[in-house]
Parts: sequence; structure tokens; C-alpha cells
Amino acid sequence: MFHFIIRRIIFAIPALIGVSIVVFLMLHATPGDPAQVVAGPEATAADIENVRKSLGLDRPIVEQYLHFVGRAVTGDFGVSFKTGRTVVEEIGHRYLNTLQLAGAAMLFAVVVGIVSGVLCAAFKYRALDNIILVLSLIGISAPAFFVGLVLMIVFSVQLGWLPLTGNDSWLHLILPCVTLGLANAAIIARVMRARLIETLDSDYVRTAYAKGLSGFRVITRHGLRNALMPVITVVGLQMGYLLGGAVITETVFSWPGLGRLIIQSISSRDLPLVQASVLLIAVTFVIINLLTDLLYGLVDPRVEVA
Amino acid sequence: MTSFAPALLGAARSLAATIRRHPSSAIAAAIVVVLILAALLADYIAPHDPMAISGRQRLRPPSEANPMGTDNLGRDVLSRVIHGAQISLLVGISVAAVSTVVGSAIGVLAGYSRYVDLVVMRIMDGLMAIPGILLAIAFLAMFGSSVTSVIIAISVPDIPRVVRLVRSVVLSLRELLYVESARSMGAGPIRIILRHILPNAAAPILVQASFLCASAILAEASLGFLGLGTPSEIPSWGNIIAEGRSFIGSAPWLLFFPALALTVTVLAVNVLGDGLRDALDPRFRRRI
Repeated sequence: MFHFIIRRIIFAIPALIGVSIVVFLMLHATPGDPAQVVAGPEATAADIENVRKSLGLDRPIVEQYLHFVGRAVTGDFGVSFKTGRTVVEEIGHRYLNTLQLAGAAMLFAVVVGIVSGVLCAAFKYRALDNIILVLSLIGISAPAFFVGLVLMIVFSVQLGWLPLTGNDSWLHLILPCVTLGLANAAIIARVMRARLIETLDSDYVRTAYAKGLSGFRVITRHGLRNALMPVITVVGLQMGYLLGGAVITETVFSWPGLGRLIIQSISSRDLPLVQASVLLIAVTFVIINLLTDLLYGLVDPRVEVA
Repeated sequence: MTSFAPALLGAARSLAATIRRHPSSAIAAAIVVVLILAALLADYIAPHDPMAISGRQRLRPPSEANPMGTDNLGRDVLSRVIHGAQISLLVGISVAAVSTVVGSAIGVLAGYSRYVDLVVMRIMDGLMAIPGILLAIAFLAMFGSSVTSVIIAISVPDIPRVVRLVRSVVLSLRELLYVESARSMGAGPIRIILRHILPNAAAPILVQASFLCASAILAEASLGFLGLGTPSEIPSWGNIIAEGRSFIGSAPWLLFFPALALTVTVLAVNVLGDGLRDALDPRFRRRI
């Protein structure tokens, strides 16, 4: 087990290096002079030269990259162009808000997805199965911002049950969390259904039925346990989409998270904030994938051998 | 004439049989065909000029003259939605084509050369570690919004997915006996890739491309919603929805119809992809 953990951690390092290269290049791939971009449109030649010096843009590119990584590792992302506060100060609580939203959405997706997937498998090829399948297809195909806006109209504007925007109480979390988690719930439901149908077809399940267990018991004790493995993988993979989808959901509901910060920082050309936020989300994603792998190893004893 | 008739009849019969056996795929295919026709013939079938502003016609609910109502500038929503189909389909198809071609080329190289594999797959891991929409947003923030940059911005995050798929297919195929025998007969790597490996990898690549097309259409609309999509002079479903957002309480049709068009399109392309997978991959037949 120990070797397995160490190996997975080592495997995550190249991904992190890749992410750091991509984020680093964000500044340099911008057409024109990055110093000019950073200094802003009204900067004088002297200003631009100063920026170039202070950002180290006059150094060889490899040296610049190593410098960037060195600072990033110690949590130094520079200062926001707009507010003058350090980037870490700016994004800290925003990050927590995004994690809260993504976590809640994942929880919603897992619970709803597994329950509806099990219902589908238990009633396969019957009305309930078909209804859930059609709903899940719509859940995958409907754009999140549309779902969010419809939920807003129904539950906030028309019924007045839930608050419209912001994040002052747990009630504020409900609509964004459903919006963000819906597509994932649909995907989990489909994977769960397919695997459970497959599992329920196997010999040991027939044996369980033969020894007189009830349908409910067979599904929960024998089927579900074995069908859960691929669901864990999907949950891990979907976390990345969730973090990306958070950008849209946060914009719809004015949720003060990293995603909304990125959109705001882009319109104000605040590149350090964009870089740091993208890097933070990517690192979070890599860590989640790592945890998924480790969880996989813990749940399925066969993985250790591989 | 007479010699064509039986062949035509046969084709019609097998088409009817296919529709009977896969009704959902047939409906999806019909929707996609209608959409493509609508996009191609937008100038002829749209009842009004999508850009014609009319101060007197502002925010009219759906009526006979404007089946989907009018927007805040008095433009006909139906005409805008029909013209918007052009951008959505253009982006969807282009992204699927670009990411599939580029991804397949890189995937084949990675599957064939260990050195390329080592370097390329690390970069792909890095790209995969950034959520696609975020990468697209970052890209558009750097290069500004045009139809071309939107296509590139959505394609880049998709490339690693194609690379992974193609690479894994190449890795498994290149050890097979028929490739071995081609090699022993003196076929060079390019010939082996083009003649023996790619044709056998075509099915999963095609299926993947159809799903990429669906997600690209969705991504274009999402970027439009965030204000980063195609420029507002060109109507696209994304920016029609983005513009309609402020009128959600007073004129919901502004948002509802383009969003409906978008959802139905994505749904149809997804279902078509499912059908394609079922038809091409015997493992999935009659299972899911």
C-alpha cells in the first residue's frame, strides 16, 4: 500500500509541472509585449521598462519560469494590479467559497446520481427507468446557465422560497449547488445504472437470489458494492468539470468564488489574479485526482497489485 | 431507370428498418439534418432580418408575426435563433474536426515513439488538469473574441482527450499480429499507421468526435453567456442568451427559445453519438 501511495504521488508531479508551464505561458503567449500588457494601455516607455525589470521579463525564459515556480511554491503570486493587495489575500476566502459550492454540488450529484441509477437498474426497461434516463439525458445536454436561470425564476422570483443571489446563509447554497451538480448527477446515474445492470447479471447475484435474499438486499449488499468502483472514478473525473462549471454557476448566482473572480479579473486585465486562480483550481484538480486514485486503492484490494 | 428502381427500393427499405430499430437515433438524425438545413438556408427561411432594429417592436411577446417574440432592440428572436444556428454548428463541427485531426496526429506519434510519448503525455496531463472551460476562458482573455479564437479556445482543451484515446488504440493495435506481419513485409511506419492502424481506430475516434461536437456547442454558448464568446454583431445562441439575461423577469422568451434550441441540439448530437457508438462498437450493442 505504501509503495502504491508513493507511486501515485510521484505520478502527480508531471501533471503539476505541465499545469505550471501552461499557466506561466498565459502571460507570455499574450500577443504583443507582456510588459506592455501588465503596465496597461496608458503606460509610458519608462513604465513598461520598469515593469519588464520588476517582473524579470528581460531574463531568459527558462530562468523566468523557474523564478515563477519558485515563487508559486512559496505562495507568492505577486500583487493584484487593481486593488494592490497580495494575490493570496484576494483569493483565499474566494477559494473556500468555491470549494464549499463544488463540495455541496458533488454531494448532491453523488446522492441523486446513485439513488436514481439504482432505481433505474432495479426497474430496468420499465417506465421509471425510461423516465430517469430521459431526464438524465436532458440534465447532460441542458446548459448549466439555463438550468440556473430557470431555477432562479421558479424558486426565487415566482415562489419566493429561496434567495436570488449571494452567499449569506445555507439557503443561498441550494440553487447554485443543484445547478452545478445536475449534469454530474445525470452522468453518475448513467454509469451507476450501466454497471449495476451488468453486476446484477452475474453468477454470484443469481446465487444470492437463490439463497432467498430479497431484491432490496441483493441490490444493496451484493450489487451496489461491486458497481460502486467505476462511480468513484467518474466522481473524481467529474470534479474537474465541477470546478470549471463553477465559473458559470458563480456568475449566474453572483457567488463570490474563484470562478467569478477569474471573470472579473479578466475584464479588468488583472493577470496575476487570473494566473493564481487558474493555478489554484488546476492544483486542486490534480490533488483530487490523486485522492481518487488512493481511495480507489483503499476500496478495491485488487488495485494494489497493478 | 429500371435498373435503379430495385436499388432505390432496397435503400429505402433498409433505411426504414434502421429507423424502426433505432427510433431515437433516427429522430436525432432528423433534428440534426433540419438544423444543418436551417443554418445553411438561414438567409432564406428567417422571416425577418436578424439585425433589423425596431424601436416600436421592443420586447414583444411571441405572436404570429414574431413566433419567438422580439428582444430589447425589437429584433425578431426567431430569425436570430435561426442565424445563431450557423455559429453554433460551425463551432461544434470545427472544434470536433480540429481537435480530432490534431489530437489523432499527436496520439499516433505518442503511441509510436516512446520519446515523444514521454514529453507529449506530460503536457497533455497538464492540459487535462485545467478544466476545459477555464482554459478556454484564459485563452480568450489573452487573444480576444472572434469566431476563430473561440474555435481554437474550445479545441485546445479537447485535444488531450483525443490524444489519450488514439494513443491507447495505437498502443493496443501495434502489437497485433497483422501489424507485425505488415512490418515484417517491409512496410514503413507511415504506411503502417495510415493503412493498418488508423482505419481500425476510426470507429472510436468518430464516436468521440460526435461527443466533442455536442460539448463544443454547449461550450460556445457558455462562453457567450460569460461575455467571452463570439462578438455581439454575429448572433449566436450564446450571446442571444447573454443579452436576454437581464430581461429574464419581464421577457423570458428572450432566453427560453435560444436555450431550448441549444438544449435540443446538444441532446440530438449526444443521442446521435450514442447511436453511433452502439452501431460501431459491438460491445455496447443492446447493453446501455
